[in-house]
Amino acid sequence: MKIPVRNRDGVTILQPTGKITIGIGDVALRDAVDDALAAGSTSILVDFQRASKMDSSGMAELVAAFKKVKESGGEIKLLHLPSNIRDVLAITQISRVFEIFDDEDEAVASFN
Amino acid sequence: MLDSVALTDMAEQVLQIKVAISSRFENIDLVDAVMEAAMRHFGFDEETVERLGLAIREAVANGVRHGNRQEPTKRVELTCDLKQDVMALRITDEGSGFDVDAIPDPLTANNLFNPSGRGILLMRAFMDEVAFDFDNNGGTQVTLKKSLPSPPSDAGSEEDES
Repeated sequence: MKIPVRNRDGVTILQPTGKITIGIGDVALRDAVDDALAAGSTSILVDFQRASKMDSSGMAELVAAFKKVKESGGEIKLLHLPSNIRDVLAITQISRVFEIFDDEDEAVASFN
Repeated sequence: MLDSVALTDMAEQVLQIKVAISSRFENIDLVDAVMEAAMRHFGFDEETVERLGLAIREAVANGVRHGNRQEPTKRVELTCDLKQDVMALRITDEGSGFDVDAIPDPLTANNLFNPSGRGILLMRAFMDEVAFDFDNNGGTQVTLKKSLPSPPSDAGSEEDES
């Protein structure tokens, strides 16, 4: 599974689809972030509009991505979290470390 | 005169679901699908099905990854018993167990970027009871319990309709 990527105003937008869970979706997220960093991107936005669920393996990749991007001098932010994913990110307190947006224009503008 | 329809006495109804998978990540989705369908049938609302489904998924995934180390010849088994007003799940693996107390608390600042500990956190957040036991060979047995929503959605009305 490869995560679709697009660019908007210098921001790399990753749009994972379906389950960000153990074995497939978590690895796809890791690969997409690694590819974006390798391509020199320092502004990464993960758009969850088409994501259906996330488990602890997906969350582990998300916090690992935060750390990697920060160490590369960049920023990674989250967009369009479905309520179920928002729920588990709140319970695990992962949402405390991320900037989270509901509006793409606002999210993209926040990187500048 | 119409014959009255005998309603099932929910207090005496016993229902059991068993699912066994070989230890491959892709099989976890099957357990998830079976249990989500079952929990809808039990009358849980969608948000609760989602939450409980994630807790179950975490227990099964732990068995596949940490317990059985993805050895396809080893099985993870789930048994779901519905008795009276409680859904009780037992998830077992054929691994060598682990020290529950050694799992780091993922909510402390130092552990926020640690990959482990969130599965158990989610189980405890969403279930009423979570317990870990280890058999003689070291295999892990996770017990998860959740009270059923009341009244059960498929139970008959208690009003006398005669």
